[in-house]
Amino acid sequence: MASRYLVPGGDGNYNSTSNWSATDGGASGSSFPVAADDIIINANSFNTPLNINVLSACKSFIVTNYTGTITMTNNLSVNGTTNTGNITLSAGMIITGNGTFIKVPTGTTGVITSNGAIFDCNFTFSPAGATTTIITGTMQVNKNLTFSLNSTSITTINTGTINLGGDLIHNGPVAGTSTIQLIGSTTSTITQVATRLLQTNLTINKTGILNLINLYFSTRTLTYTSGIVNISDSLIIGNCTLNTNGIIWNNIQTNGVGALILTITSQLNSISFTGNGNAVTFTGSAGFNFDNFILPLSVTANIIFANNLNYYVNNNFTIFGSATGINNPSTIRASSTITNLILGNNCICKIAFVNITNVNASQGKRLYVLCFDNGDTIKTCTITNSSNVFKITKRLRQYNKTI
Amino acid sequence: MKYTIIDTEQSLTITTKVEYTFDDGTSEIIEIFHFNPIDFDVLDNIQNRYESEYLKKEIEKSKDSE
Repeated sequence: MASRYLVPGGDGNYNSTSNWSATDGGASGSSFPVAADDIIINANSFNTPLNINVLSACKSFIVTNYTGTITMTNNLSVNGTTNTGNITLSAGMIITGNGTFIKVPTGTTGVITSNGAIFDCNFTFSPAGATTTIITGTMQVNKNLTFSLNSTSITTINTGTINLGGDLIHNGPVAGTSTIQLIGSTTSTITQVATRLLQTNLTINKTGILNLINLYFSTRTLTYTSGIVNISDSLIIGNCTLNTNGIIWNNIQTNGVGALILTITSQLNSISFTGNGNAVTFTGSAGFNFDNFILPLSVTANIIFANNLNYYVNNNFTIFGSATGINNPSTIRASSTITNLILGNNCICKIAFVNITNVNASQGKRLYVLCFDNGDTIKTCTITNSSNVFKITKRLRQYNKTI
Repeated sequence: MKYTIIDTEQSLTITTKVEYTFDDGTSEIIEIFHFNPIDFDVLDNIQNRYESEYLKKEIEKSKDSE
């Protein structure tokens, strides 16, 4: 375990003793840093360049008062446990190349401080288990950002922002209060293992294209600022805040893990919204505009449209409970007398095993409320406090539903 | 006393309503959301949105011409 200082006069290659000293500003000739050694680059390095020419490792990587260039020809991993494995960059320095800068976090107190310097290379968090790393200020990664742990253990990143120009890849859940902001003109994507949610803030702020198949997201805020977002399948969500007006999602799907509270802060647009059997509460400061809203419910699950907002459903509004829910049906309700749930002119509203309370369909010129279950068997529903708005079809009366 | 702060959390979203005028003379009013902006982020974000909206128009044009 030692400190290794980068000093001038050598050949610039990481694995050459001609570049390393055991003392600050001392003579070169010391062994090159290995996983137990701290790398220190400072004013006495005189901005001498360093080429990571071989697969390399160190304990910590601390750079101050240096505006030279680190070339990532190969990978460099920083392995120190907890805060002995910190990474600190110096303003004005350059890190570039096709190699990968790897942080091997352990415990809860590792810190990455960029001071405005940019990782113009790939960056990987490579823990062995659940860890927390603190991001101080803004960290920028121009190529791919990978969270490599392939398990259900959570990699946590707290505070700060990671600006990401390349792809985001995470094989396990990623959580924390940091913001990952997707930037740049390069076409990029997010690759996830199914059900392992991204649980940090995510901001899409690209000038280029973001291509997604599915996006698993939960807990924090997803913001759309700029960029072209192509999503071919679903946004799959747990409790979270969505501020994504400007994107039309293909499908938004609840992740089916307990009741969902979805906070919407700008109109949420999607071709369809589908549930997985549990209760859903729509809250926040804005409503939604969906073509199709299809929600199976568990026995006592409630669908709550809060805050007297506008919720548009244009085509298919289908909610159905389970057969065992007849005596304890699910309820659609809102916080007050509402004009919230605005069903399109030709919207077909299918509801089964569900009580409806205080729901208006103010534009429901031809609203069909058909009390079928999902097997098209006629079932009983109770509709109250909506008589002046809902135009219940004869068909509904014909089947002797309680109104 | 020894302590380490391992997390703090505060978030702020600023919304700007911007009227863009594009090179083809069309204009559009767009709400832009800025999550935890610092320094000149709001201005940068407005520029980013212009560029992506412009790109969107270009893609649509190329689709139409196919």
